[in-house]
Amino acid sequence: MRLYEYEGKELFKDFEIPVPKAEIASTVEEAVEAATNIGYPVVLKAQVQMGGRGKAGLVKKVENREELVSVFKDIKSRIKNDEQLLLEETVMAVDEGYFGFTVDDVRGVPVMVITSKGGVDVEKVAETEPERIVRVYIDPLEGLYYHQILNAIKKVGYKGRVMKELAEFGLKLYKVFVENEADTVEVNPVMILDNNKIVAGDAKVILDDYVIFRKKNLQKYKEKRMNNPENNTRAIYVPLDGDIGIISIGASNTMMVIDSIKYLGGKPGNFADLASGVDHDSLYELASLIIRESADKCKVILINITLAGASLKVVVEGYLDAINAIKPKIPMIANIRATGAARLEMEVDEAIAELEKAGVSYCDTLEEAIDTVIRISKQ
Amino acid sequence: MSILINKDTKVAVWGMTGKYGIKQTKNMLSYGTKIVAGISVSRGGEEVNGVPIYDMVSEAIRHTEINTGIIYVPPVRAKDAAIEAIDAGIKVLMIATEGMPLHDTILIKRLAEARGTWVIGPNTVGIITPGECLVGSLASDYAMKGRVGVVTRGGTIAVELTRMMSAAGFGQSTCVGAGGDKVIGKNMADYLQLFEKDPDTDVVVLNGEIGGHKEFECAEVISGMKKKVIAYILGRCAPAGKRMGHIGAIIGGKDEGFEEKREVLRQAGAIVVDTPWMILEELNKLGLKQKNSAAISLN
Repeated sequence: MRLYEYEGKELFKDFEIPVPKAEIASTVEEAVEAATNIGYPVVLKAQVQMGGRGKAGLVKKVENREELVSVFKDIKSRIKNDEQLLLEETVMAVDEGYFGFTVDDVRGVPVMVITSKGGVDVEKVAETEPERIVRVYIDPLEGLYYHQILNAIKKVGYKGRVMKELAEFGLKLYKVFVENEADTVEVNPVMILDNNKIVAGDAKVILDDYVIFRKKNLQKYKEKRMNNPENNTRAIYVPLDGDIGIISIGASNTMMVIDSIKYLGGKPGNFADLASGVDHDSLYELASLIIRESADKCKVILINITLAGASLKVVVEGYLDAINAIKPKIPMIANIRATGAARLEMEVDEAIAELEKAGVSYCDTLEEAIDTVIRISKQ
Repeated sequence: MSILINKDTKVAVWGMTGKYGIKQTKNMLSYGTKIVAGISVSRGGEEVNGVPIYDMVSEAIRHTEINTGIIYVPPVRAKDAAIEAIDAGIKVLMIATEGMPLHDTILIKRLAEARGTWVIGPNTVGIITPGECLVGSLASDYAMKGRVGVVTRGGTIAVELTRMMSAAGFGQSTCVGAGGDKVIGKNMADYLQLFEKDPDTDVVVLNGEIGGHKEFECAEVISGMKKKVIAYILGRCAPAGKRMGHIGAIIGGKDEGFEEKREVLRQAGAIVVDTPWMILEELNKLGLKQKNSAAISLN
């Protein structure tokens, strides 16, 4: 789960990391009031989760109320309804750097990345000025020591009093990363002021979805996101722009099916999977979500079942309850492959019979099922 | 021969007394896997599926030889179970648990490397050496003995590839799902190295996905391999920045995408295919078709 910039900065404040004075606004009235509290000039920043906001015109400085109102309306018209704007005091930096903590997925350890060139794409710095970027892999049993950060700061070219300030900033940021068991904590730019003080100019925080259950301070971020179907707690739903709905669990198998549909000339309408365990309610929710979202944009739904560990009976019942409750108007095509423990409570033949009773057509092989849904989608 | 598990594998199961663990254990026993102990605190002295339960693994190893462990414990306790297994000197440890906290896995991986435990997963469907041993739930009805090694990132794709290969007459030496999480114990590249050395494996089928850099590590290994590797990458349809189910399957940087990974694997010498059916065509070209294949059903 990725936090918005303002949420990330809230979290930073809890760890005594300096951030610009700021307020969040959804309406022009709120923005005018916020700007008065902060004092002009203020910077308006759209709270969207994308890189290159500046280039897209979603970050702008305004000098007075008139300018604020027109810029606010302009930015608001270019972002989604539920997205907000952050208003911040103007911070005069004499230099900008980058500080980040993330997890290296190959070595399986945390890594600290520092560059002395902030405000730009770090990968670009790695290509063009490799001497200004340092990566420090962190032994999870040892943690990160102050002198390791100092070493890295020196290597990328910092000198003098700012070194100590940067090292302390780095330690606090590491604390945010470790204590929240985060996936990524990144500040770009790290703003260095003329008195050598450091301010976090941005905040990119990606939380580990699987750790929130034991982190009381992070639960509020999850609760805020409950209303959006893309953030459903039980089902992972990724809308695609095609016209074939896909009810399927098992991430890799589902990807194989949508990839094959696309390769063979069809257009998949979604990716889906369960967020955690396989139980009736989650399956019901997943199938309901896809049937509802497919109603207008899809011509056919493919029910793809591949199981080895999870029970075929539980899966088929979850789907059937959703189908019988919503009664989709578009055709549904199914194929089932089930092995081992999946078949302990229901055999494939029984599952086929149950699905057919609910109006689902069955294809004997996955290839045939894929061919059939592509054919229907093109009629 | 095979990799990691065989007829001499002796297994302890953590979480065997749970609803899910009972079913998986039953299926493994019927496949012929030697499950010699269940580890469940406060349940010591009981028997489940005819297997004795011990409170702790340190107790179990005084009574019986154990070289392999399986963790069917929920995320909140899985770390403790894994560390107990590693501390007891278990050689191969499969962690089936889905939803492991990332920093827990980081710690487990670090400890396992220090103690020499080969960790499969977390978030894995397991491993099977057809006709000898099943650890987990990888396609007991589909697997067929043969000479193709299979390593995947996801679980259900391992089941699917095994099914398709067996039905088409291409048996497997060992099939393993390395795990779908961002950090896993052993990476796909580590299995490639085992298959390269295994005298009973002729060709390896590798499955990867968008997101992360593990496939780049595979490419490095493949460029030094004598055996052919057929690579099948998932995520052709994945939009950038969206998580495709697996916690690690998200395109962050531009080099983590579908075409980028395929290109790197191609340059390393892998045969890169577009669909699972094309894997079968490539295996056929390599002359791996077996005559004893009719027994595997399509479902």
